[in-house]
Amino acid sequence: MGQDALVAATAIEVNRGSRRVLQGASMELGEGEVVAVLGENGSGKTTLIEACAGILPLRSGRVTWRTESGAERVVRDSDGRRTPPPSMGLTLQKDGMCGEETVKERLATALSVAGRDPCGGDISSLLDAWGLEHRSDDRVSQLSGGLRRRLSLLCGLAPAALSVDSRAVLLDEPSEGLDDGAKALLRGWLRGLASNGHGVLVATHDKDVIACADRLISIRGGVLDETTGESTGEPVVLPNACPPVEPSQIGSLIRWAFRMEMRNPIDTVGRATPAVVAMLLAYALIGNLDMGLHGSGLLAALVLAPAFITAVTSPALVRRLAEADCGRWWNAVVGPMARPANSIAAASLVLPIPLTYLSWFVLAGSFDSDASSEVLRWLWLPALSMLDLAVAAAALHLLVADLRRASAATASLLLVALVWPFLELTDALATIMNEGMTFGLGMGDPITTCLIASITSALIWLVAIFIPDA
Amino acid sequence: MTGMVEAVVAYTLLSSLLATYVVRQIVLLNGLTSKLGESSSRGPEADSD
Amino acid sequence: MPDTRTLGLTLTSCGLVGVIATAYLGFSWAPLVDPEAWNAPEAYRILFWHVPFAWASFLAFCLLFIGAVSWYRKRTEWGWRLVVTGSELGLLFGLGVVISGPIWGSAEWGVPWDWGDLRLNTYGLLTAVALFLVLSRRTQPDGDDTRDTLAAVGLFGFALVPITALATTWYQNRHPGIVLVESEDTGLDPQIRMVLMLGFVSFLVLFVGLVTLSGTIQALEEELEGRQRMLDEGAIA
Repeated sequence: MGQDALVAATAIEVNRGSRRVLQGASMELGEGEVVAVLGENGSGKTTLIEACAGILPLRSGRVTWRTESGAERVVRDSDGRRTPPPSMGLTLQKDGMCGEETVKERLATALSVAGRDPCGGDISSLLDAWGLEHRSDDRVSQLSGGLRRRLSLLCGLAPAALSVDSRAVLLDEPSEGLDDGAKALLRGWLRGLASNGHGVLVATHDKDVIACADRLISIRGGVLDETTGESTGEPVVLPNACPPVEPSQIGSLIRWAFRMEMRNPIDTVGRATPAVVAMLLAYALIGNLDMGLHGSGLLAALVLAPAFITAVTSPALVRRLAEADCGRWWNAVVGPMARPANSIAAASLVLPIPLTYLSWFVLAGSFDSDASSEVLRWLWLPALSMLDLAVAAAALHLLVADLRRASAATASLLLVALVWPFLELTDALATIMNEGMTFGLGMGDPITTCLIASITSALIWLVAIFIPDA
Repeated sequence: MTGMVEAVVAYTLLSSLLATYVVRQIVLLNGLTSKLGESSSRGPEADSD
Repeated sequence: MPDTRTLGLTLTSCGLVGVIATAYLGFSWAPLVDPEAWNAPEAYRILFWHVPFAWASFLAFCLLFIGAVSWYRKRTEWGWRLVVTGSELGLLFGLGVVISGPIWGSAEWGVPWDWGDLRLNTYGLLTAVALFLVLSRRTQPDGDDTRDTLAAVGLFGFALVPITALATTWYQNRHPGIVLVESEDTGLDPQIRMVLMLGFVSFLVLFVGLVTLSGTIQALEEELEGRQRMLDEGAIA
C-alpha cells in the first residue's frame, strides 16, 4: 500500500451470484484525487465499491485502509477476517436510507457514525447547500427520488467535507436521478474534496463526472485498466471542518433503531398483537377449567407463551434494514459488530415482562391467592430470562435475512431450537408456583433453571452471530 | 394385534416418503437429460472448460 | 454422465428391492416379541425401517456437515454439492425418523415426543434445518452469497447438537421420562437381527444410489445452466 494511499485493494477476486465479477483486481485510492470507475452494466463497478467498503466476501486478496493514525488496517481478506474500516463517506446505489428517518436525522447519523460533531447550524448549512433545508423535518419517504438521491449523496460527502484529516469517500452512481443543478454541485464538491486532500472513488457512467476525475479505472472481463483522467471542474468552497469526536457506530445504530421504532411502532404492534390474541384464546379455552387439576406446568406454559410469541416474531428492524440497502450501509460503516448490535436492537426487550404479568392476571384467576402473590413477586425472573431468548431469536431472523430473497425463506424452522429455553422457563415458573421462590443454586431451583435457559439462548445467539461472519 | 395399525400407518407414511422422493429424482433426471438434448440441438455445441 | 446415471439408478433400484424385502420379512417372517414385556408388540416392527432410516439420516447429516465445512472454509464446488445432497437426503430420512419414532413411541409408551431424548430432538432439529436448506435452495438465486448463508445455517444446525445435548440433559434431570431405546442389539432374536441387518444393507445401498443420483442431477443442472447462459449471450448479440 502506497504512502499516500487511503484505500488499497490487492488482487481481489469477488463473485456475485454465480459469476466471477472481479479477478486479480488491484487498485489504490490516494489522497487528493478523484478516481472514476467505469464499465458496462454488470461489469463490476458496484462490486468494486462494495468490496472496498468491506461489505463483500473475497475469494482471494485483501482490502486495506489507512487509519487516522496512519497505520494500515486490513478491513477484509479471503481468510474471512473482517475489521471495521476507519470513518468513511459512503453512498450506495440504492441510497441506503430507511424511509422513516427525517432528512436532518439522516445527515446527523451519517456524521455521528463518522466521528463528526457538527452543531445545528452546520447541518442546516449543509442541507441548504444541497437544497434540502426546507425539507429537513420531512421523512425520507416523503422526498422525491431526486431529493432522496441528493440527501444520500450529501450523507456520503459530508463526513469527509467536515474532516481536517484526509478521508476516503466511496460513491456508487452518484449522479443517477440528479437534475443538472445537483450534478454541477456534485462535480464541484468532488473537486473540492480532492483539493482538500480527500480521496473519492466513484463508480459512474456519467460523462461529466468522469471528466472531473484524475484517474480512470475501467473494468472489462473482471480485469482493471487504469488511465489518466481530465481533472476538469472548479472546486467549490467546502464548509469548515468541525471537531472530531470518537466515532459512535454501534451507539448510532442502536439509537437509530430505537428512534425508528418510536416513530412508527410496527415492531411493538406486530409482536404484541399475536401475543395478546394467544392470551385471550388461552383464556377462552381454559375459562372454566380448574387449573389446579392440570398441573402447574400447563398454566406456566400458557402464562409465558405470549412473551415467547413476542420474542420469536420477526423483527421490524429486519424489514427496515432491507429497505433500499439500508442494512448494507450500516453493515459497511459499523463493520463486523453490525450483526451483534442489530440482534440486540431488533430484539423484543420491552414487551416480555409486562406481557407476562398481564398474562398472569388474565389466566391465573383460579390460582391460590397466597401462592399467587408469591408468584407475582418473582414472575419477572423467568420473564427477564425471556429477553435472552428474544435476542437469540432476533439473531436467527438476521441470519435468514442475509438471503437475497429473505421474504421467501422460512425462518421459523430455525427457531425450533428456542423451544428448550422456553421449556426451562416454564419449569422455573412451575417450580415457583408449586413451591414458592427458593434461592438455592441446585438443579431444579428456579434461579438455576432460568440461568440454564439464558445460557442456552446465549449459546444459540453466539452461534447465529459468529458463524456467518467468521 | 396390538400396535399393528400403528405399524401399518408408519410403513405407509415412510413408503410414500421414499416413493415420492425417488420418483421425483427420476423425473428430474429424465427432464434434465431431454432439456440438455434440446439445448444442444438449438445452439452451438458447448465448449468444454 | 451415462455411467453415474446408470449406476445411480441401479443402486437405487437394488436398494428399493432390499428395502421392500425388509418390510415384507419384517411383517411375515420376523417373530412377534413377548406380549408380556411390550405394550404394543406388533408396533415393534416399525423398528425394521425406523432404525435404518435413522442411520441413513445420520450419514446424510454427516455429508451435510462435511460439505458445509468445506464450502465455508474453501468454497469448494464438491463441498456445495455435498451440502445439497446432504440436506435433501437428511430431510428425506430425517422426516422418516421423526414420523416413525413418535408413532412407535405413542403406541408402545404412550409418549409421542420426549423433550429429554437427545437423539430424537437432535434428529428433529437437524431435519428442520435440512428443510430450511432445501426450501431456501429452491427459492433463492444461486451464488456465493446465498451459498455462504446456507452453509452457515448448516453449520449452525450442527453447532446446535452439543447445545441440544446440554439442554436435553438439563431437561431430563427434572423430567426423567421414558428413554426410547431404539437399537438395542443385546437380547434380540436372531431372526429379528437378520431382518434388521438386511434393512441396514438395503438402506445403505439405497443411500449410495440416491447420493449418486443427486450428484448426477446437480452435474446435469450445471451443464444446462452453462448452455442456457451461452444461449442468452447469443440472443443478446
